[in-house]
Amino acid sequence: MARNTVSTNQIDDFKRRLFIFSGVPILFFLIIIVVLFSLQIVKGPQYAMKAKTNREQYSILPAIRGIVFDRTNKNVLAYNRRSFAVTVVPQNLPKDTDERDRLLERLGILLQMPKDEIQSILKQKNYSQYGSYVIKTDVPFKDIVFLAEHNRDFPGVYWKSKPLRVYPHGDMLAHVIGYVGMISQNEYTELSDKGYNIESVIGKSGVEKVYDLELKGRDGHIRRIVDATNQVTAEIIDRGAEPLPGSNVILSIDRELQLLVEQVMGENMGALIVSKPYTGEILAMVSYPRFDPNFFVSGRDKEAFKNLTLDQRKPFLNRAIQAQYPAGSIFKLVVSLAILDTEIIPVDKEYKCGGGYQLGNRFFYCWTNHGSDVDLYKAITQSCDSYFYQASLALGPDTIAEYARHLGLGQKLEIDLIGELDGIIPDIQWKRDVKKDVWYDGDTLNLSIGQGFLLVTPLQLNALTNIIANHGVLMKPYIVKEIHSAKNNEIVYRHTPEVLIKSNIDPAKYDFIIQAMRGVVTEGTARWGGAILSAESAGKTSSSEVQGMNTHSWYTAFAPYNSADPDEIISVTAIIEYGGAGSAVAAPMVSEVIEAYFSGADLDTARRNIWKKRSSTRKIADSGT
Amino acid sequence: MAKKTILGRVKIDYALLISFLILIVVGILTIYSAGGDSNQHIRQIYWAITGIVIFVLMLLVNYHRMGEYAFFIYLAGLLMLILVLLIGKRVRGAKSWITVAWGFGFQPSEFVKITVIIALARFLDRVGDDIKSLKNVIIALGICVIPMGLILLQPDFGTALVYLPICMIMLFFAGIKYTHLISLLIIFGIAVVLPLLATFSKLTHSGTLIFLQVLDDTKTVFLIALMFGLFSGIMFILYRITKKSLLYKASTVFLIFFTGLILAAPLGRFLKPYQKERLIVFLRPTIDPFGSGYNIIQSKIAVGAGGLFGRGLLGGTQSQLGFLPERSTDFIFSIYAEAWGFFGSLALLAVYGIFIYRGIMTIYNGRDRFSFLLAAGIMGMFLFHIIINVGMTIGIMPITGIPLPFLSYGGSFLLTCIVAVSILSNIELRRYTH
Repeated sequence: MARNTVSTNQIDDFKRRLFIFSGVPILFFLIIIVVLFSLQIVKGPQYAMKAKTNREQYSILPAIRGIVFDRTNKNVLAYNRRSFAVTVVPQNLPKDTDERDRLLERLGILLQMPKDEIQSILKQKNYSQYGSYVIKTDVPFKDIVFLAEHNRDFPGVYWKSKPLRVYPHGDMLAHVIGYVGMISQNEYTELSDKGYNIESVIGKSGVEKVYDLELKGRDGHIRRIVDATNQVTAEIIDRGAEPLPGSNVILSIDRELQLLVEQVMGENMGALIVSKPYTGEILAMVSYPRFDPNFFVSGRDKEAFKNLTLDQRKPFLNRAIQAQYPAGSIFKLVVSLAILDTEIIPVDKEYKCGGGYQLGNRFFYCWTNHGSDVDLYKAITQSCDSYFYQASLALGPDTIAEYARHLGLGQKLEIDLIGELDGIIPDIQWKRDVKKDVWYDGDTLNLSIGQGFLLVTPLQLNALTNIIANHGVLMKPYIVKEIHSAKNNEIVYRHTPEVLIKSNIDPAKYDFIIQAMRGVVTEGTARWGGAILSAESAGKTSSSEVQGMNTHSWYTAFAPYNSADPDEIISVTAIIEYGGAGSAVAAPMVSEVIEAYFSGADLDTARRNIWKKRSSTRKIADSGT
Repeated sequence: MAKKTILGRVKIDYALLISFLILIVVGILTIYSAGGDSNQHIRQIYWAITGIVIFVLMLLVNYHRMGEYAFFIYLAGLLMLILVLLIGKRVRGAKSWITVAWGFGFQPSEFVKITVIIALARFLDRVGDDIKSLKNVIIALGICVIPMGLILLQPDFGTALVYLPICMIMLFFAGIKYTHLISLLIIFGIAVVLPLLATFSKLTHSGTLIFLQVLDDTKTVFLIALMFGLFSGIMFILYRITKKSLLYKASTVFLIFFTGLILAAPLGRFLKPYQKERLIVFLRPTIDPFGSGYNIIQSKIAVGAGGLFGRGLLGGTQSQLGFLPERSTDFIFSIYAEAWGFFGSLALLAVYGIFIYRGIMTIYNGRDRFSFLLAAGIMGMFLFHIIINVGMTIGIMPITGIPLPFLSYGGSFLLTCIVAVSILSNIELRRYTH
């Protein structure tokens, strides 16, 4: 509607409003001019003087990072040692370029670094509000003494205390604790609002990264008053500018158990997890190969670091959560729960094994011939593939996938570590979307024994064990138990166990699975490898196939299997990459851990106990799946 | 009037064009003198050239077409804001950047200002005199509040704030009732000031005013709000019984307070303590001279040290020695004022004055309701930016990170400003055509 078609009344109103609006810039511009007059003319000389004497410089005083303890709150897993850093304030260096070059040359000789390297640090784009640059950390004390004695010869060069991180156990638990390093340009632009500065040391992985805000504390600063010739005349730490130490973090990890588990794993590639089903706390977590986080702290051993990053075996990968494998026969537990809960197939229904199952023109093999009378219990204890091939055709892939998701597979378990993978639970829709292909019955058969497209992380199979041991309740897994303030060791955070999944499957169905898993140990595929003297365990073996390679060796177990006190139960899950049969490789390792845990013995004694147990039962050489 | 070729009837507003070109050149020079990152002025030149090309291209299109497509333009803006939340890059704590390619990135929250202005102009044009009804006022606010909410999620409080004055000024020109306008101002006043009061008293009185500390607790504020809501309801029921208009008015007043408090409660919780400190520290920067007050103190020293005639383009120690952070973006005026002094600052304000005067004349000359509403929204945006930014550098406005039009370094904002000027020129250009 054009304005000239509306009433004069409205035009008057418009003009009045335009008039009022024009008042806004006039009013504010007048105010701005008055303030400018006051700042630049009335107080101008005063501010000009301030600008001249604005010779205060600030240097960051780094906070002491919190200490990482194991669950006993006594064993230290990461602490700090004193060290010195040399800093340069470019503004205070000699103005004369020759003189300046000579000074940097001298400094380079003292610090054993090329002059060019110092200059490139000073040319960094990231201009500090404090105007100072850290040239070198971890400088020997004698060099600092030399600088202090000759400070007239080094104008613009300063030093300060900068604590360095130490991981006393080297590569032990490296994937869980993580490591720290200098803040990167990207991290700084992202986090400058959260109390980080360009000199910050920041957690790069593991607990050091996830709990960085708690661990880092608050950096302080020192104020230097500089005279006209750039000589420091005073150094002041203002009230409120003192650095505040970071909080201490207490893990759920048990150092002694962790050491034992790492000993058990030896130099086998893979992962092993020990957790408590009742709370979700992780007692030990191993991934091999490992790395020594101390490499990153001083950054001096560049050769060793390079070798680590180029290592084909990917030592930085935390295989417990960041690697995905086919689940193999352990997945039969999921299919079994689906059979029990849907009641599509009666529990006592028997299928014929005959060493495999003929589907169309393809024969799907079982690992041995289990005869013609395999019911569900026997199928689990003897790990009969043929049973599950036939049962899965009755269930259908979508039902199996639905139960897998219901039991925590195919999703992150929200552990307080970084980089956890989802795994893959394939179903008809998934295959259509991802593989652009239709679902075949052969895919169902593969899925039923945990092969094909199915992928899981070791932590997910540990969680599956936990949900079974707990009769359908999955507690969220966690690593950090408590956080204590550095000042008075007051508890500022305590993890409260949190239910992640509450299954609606009848607990009696879980009892059946538990009894069958007990059967695996007493009369099934793990009767040799799963033997334990000090506790009654229940478990499941798995040898998951990889195209053209030796199978991955899996075993997962919990003990005691019929305990009245749920807090007493632990679960242990292990995978040895390309290790062979689960019953022969992973099962003995898991059993050693459980034996040592409940007997309190060292590894050698535990191994002797297990042999005692094995010789008391009939020894049968077998290689179950 | 018969349709003529563009050149035949061109009525280019030279004053507007020249003033805005001067401002861009001054901006590039000042960025050069700030010298934080040595390539910034070069990049700004590229942006300016790109902007001028877009400026010319946009003049060829009748801006009324924008009105026709307003709904889609608005939707595209919202999509960009959602996209930035999903794939955006975090800069200075806010997820506000989308990287397109070759490291080239932009900030959707800047461009969306224009899309919202277009959408509002279209809506307010359509409702006409019905804007007197509260329902339409609320719809207009809704058009603004959706993008504001998305920007708050980034979170970028300063940029989100710009949308409120734009909306208010457009409503004002659309003919909103004065009572509605004043009620809205009171509601927003309460919502913004209340969450900051407790922080202010904590900073200045070391927390002796217990009464104000209460306001830091979201639950308490919420309860007080409900109390006002209850009063309002009771008054309204009494009014229905007794038919006394005084009761109706009382009910309305309580309702206004209720709304303000209801908005204040979540905002107080949303803003982190350091953000609140930064917003109010301008009132007393010396309480935290090395933290939140550092920027303001250094900025005031820079402006003051400029004196009567300034210290020359590269002569300012505040800028050259790097005492001032963010000097090519938020504090560009401080650098300018240190270099050119009081007279230089007056000259710059004069150029801005001419620009604003021409902008207001565009509102006056707009040939229909859509045109003057569009111009009003754009001028609202410019005015708010100029006043808040300059006010911030001289210590009379809170630090919100709002850049200065044409002078501050930053491609997204410069392009947004140029597009805005292009729309203004377009309105002026076509005032006689049909």
